[in-house]
Amino acid sequence: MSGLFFKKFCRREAITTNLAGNGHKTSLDEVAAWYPDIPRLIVIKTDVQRRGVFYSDAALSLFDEAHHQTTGTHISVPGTV
Amino acid sequence: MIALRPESLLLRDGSSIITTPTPLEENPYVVDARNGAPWLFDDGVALEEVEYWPAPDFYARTSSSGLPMKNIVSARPQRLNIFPYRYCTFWNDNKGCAFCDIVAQLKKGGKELNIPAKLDPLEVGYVVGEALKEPGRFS
Repeated sequence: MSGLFFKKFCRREAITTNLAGNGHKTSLDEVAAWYPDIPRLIVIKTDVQRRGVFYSDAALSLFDEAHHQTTGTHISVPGTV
Repeated sequence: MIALRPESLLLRDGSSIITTPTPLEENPYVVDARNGAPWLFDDGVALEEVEYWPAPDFYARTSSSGLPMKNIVSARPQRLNIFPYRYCTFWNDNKGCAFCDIVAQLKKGGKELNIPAKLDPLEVGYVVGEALKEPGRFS
């Protein structure tokens, strides 16, 4: 993923929100349509990194410390979920 | 203490996502269970099945100093992260900067995980050697 794409991606949402004036949030599908040459998975990857994730209890029940990597030594944000 | 949760996610094309746990009120994507597997959801719509990052073999081992190897060298799906010196001179005036929260994280790691500010290079080399023994994991 290029830095240019990331900047354009982030900026486009801000512009759309300002022009619409109604708090419209650009959807993932809209962004994917704007950039048909960018794989949809890359668009998802970028937006998930931008917005973050919330793990449901059901999702955490699938987590197995013996087989999955846990939070590393460099990411430990107090007060987050 | 650091909450036990998945480090992050893999997409079906093998690419990794570096995720940040985010409260629901900030409108994050949601990872929920669907048909016995974790999926990414947005506004209740299922987007993609994901995988939690698999734990590398060396994460279960202990180094010569008694620290868990994962506290000396951390891993991403295809690479290793090494922080040889856990300090930032921008924080010499105790004001820090707004670029990142890495110093707060490193202080927390030192306090809660007993990670020294300066790693022993011989120990790092040993852990890297152990990590590379896992076939096909790191290149």
